Amino acid sequence: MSFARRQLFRASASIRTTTRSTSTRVAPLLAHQASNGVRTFSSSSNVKFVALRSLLNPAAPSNVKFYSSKSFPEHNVIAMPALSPTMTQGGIGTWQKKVGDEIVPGDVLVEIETDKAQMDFECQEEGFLAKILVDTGAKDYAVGKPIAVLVEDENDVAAFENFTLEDAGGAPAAAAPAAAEEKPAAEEKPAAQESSSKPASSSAPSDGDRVKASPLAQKTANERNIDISQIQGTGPGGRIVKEDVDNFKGTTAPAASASAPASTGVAAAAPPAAYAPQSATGDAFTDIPTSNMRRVIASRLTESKQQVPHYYVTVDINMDKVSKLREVLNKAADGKYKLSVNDFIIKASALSLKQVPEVNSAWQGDFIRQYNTADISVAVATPNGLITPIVTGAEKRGLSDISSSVKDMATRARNGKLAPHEYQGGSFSISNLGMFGVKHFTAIINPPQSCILAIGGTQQKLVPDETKENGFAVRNTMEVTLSSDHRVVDGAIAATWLQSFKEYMENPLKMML
Amino acid sequence: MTIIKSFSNILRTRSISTLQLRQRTILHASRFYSSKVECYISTINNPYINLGIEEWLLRDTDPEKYILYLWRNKPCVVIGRNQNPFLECNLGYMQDNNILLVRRRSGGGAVYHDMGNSIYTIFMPREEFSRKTNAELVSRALLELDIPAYVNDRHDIAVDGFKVSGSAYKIINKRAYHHGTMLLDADTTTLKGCLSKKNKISNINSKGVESVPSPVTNLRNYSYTIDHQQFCESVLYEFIRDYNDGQELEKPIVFNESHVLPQRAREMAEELQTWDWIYGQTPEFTNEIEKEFSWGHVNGFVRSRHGIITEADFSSPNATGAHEVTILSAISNALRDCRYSKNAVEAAVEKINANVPGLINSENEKIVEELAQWINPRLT
Repeated sequence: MSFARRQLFRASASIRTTTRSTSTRVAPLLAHQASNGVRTFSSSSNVKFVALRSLLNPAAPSNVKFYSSKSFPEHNVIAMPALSPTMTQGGIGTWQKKVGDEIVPGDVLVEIETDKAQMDFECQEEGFLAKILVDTGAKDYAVGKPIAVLVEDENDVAAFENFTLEDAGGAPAAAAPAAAEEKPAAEEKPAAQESSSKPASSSAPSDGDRVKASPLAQKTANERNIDISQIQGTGPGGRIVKEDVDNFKGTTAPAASASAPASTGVAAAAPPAAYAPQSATGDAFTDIPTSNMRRVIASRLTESKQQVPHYYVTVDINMDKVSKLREVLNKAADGKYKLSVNDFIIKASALSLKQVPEVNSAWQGDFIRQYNTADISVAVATPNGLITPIVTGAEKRGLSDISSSVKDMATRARNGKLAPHEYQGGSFSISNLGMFGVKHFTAIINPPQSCILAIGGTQQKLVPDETKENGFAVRNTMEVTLSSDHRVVDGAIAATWLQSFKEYMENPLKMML
Repeated sequence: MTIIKSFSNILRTRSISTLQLRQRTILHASRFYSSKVECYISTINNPYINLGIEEWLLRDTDPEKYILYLWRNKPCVVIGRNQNPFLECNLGYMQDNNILLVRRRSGGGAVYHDMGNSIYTIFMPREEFSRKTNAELVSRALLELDIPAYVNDRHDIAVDGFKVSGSAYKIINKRAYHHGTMLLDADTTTLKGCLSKKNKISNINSKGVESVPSPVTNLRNYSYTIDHQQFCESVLYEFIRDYNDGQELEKPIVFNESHVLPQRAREMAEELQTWDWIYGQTPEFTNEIEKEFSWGHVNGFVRSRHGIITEADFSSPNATGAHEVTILSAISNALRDCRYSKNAVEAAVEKINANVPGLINSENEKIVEELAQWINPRLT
């Protein structure tokens, strides 16, 4: 179907009331054309045709694929895609195509940095790259904002030299995608951005308690970056309707990018002004701009500490048998695998989660989701920040399998090459600072999980021992601390879990036989 | 007239019950002959089949009848329903000499059977049950054969201070039986080999029934002519005197190899041979062993229930090598859920190799060998 026809479909199928951006557009469109009879249009007569339609049926403002008021040939504007369900903005990396290159669906157009990882944006449209609207290095570019222009006809490329962001209707409110849900018949080639933003727009209602809102109201709220859960509904049964959104004058802070419920759209408070010391040479401090990843870590962990009632339980683990078993197995491995203490910890945690499934849960307000399988998030420190790749189904996997999986994901995490599903989710977390000589620490829970296990280093400890001649013995001891969410896990449950974990760690062959 | 006769009957035999009295009275009164007494003889020597027939007789025949069942077995050791074979008998010796292990359904202790040992079972209605009556019946039968037998306080039959017969009992709803052995000419050496605890170095603590050992003797030592045939005839004679008024029975029913046995007898014989019955009915027990190896002192503890090891702990207070500690731990964990037997350690090693391949390798095989050689015979 030609680009123009698709245009038509979209225009005619929408029954939307206009937003300010549309209403300002339609009239000038016609007026301009009338007065500029001299300007050459493309040979296609579709231009006028479509313009007329736009007047009669005011076009959906959410439709990015507009003509600008400077008569450009028909073109396709590519907007910033949401590459993960929670992505609201990203940074633009290296452009893989230059102006004039042919784009085939599946080609990588540009590298995009999301809140956690470097992603390649594969364009699903075909055409020729006519104009790049954002340069490499741009940060915090909102999802839905135009980033490039594609044309079907190679010859039209030149015409876009002076195409600007405004021409593409670059206001953030013109975010395309939510429209897609409403027009199922319209798209035969759903663009990547439309399908990926579908979850973005529906994230509002799936937030925490299911918010009752009409689809129109949801879409409108999304465009205006209003958190729909903050709006009071006046429709039947407290349903939020479009008018409520129109009338809403609350904060328009974007919804927190938490990947799951319990996000109450906490607006980031402005931090107190930092102390700025003066120095003779003028370099007493350096201001490092916060990366996406750092910002996400900041918002999620603050939210966690504020919302989740943490408490901490510690036990000592005797590591003698584990270290000996590890020695024997690694010797027998012949290089096929190398087990680390962490692998034993992951397996012991998974089996303990099976024994005490209450710890393997997520708080959801009205209900608690208790998982039947242990998907363990393992904290990995990368140069960019902390990330937690997930070992799925750890209770069923063998030690060498877990070992190779963790090593592989840690390497990829450090290179920023983890896929979103590999670090989002998980039902339990483990964080190990033992390699830094840390004896004991407490970790912050990653919501919506209920617990996180903080592992210290193995230390030598002197204990009284009657069976020995000298009356004492030396033991290798490791301190582990379980941080638990008291809404889900009571003290006795946490203690029982730790007992089970200790039993598995102190008798590791029990995990395998 | 009838009443006087009944009274004299009472005076003569104190142990007669009211029921019997009434029956005798009725007999006299009505002159009606009812065959309430039967005799079965088995010439099959398979202990499982013989016990199967016994069970059938118990459950599928008329509860009002008095039945005498005479049989004998090829060499075997028969333990009581709730006994612990690992404690009671020397399983190694038995296996070396092809002696079967049988768990019977009645209670009591462990006995050794062979063709020089005759067995009698007397079935009677439940109300008639008494430990003494039938023991006395059999000792009277022996008296007829000129053997000075008597019943002692444990209700065993003894001659000259030595036990010649042991008894056991089973009671169900309407019926009861008393069965007992009679040592005519059994092989006492083998008997001691199977049952003697003197040579067992065992630290087994068991919740089951323990046998009470007594010094035994063969009737052969008191009579050159006694044999199974004579014994059976004598017992039968006493039996019909007591329960059938001396009326001769029709021919006793004989089971031999060619018979097709009743369904229940066959099923029971099958069940008695299963591992689940013979070993799986063992009550809970523990066993502790220890040994000094070159690389450390090892303490072993095994707990078993229903013939399966539920808990095992082999540990050493002073072994420090990685291999030693790991192997001990591996064997302890692997033994869990293995059958308690002298092959338990082999089963454990197989489990280790299946679940953690490579744990047992050329560097620590020797340790495994040493442990297996020590543990296996000590378990049984």
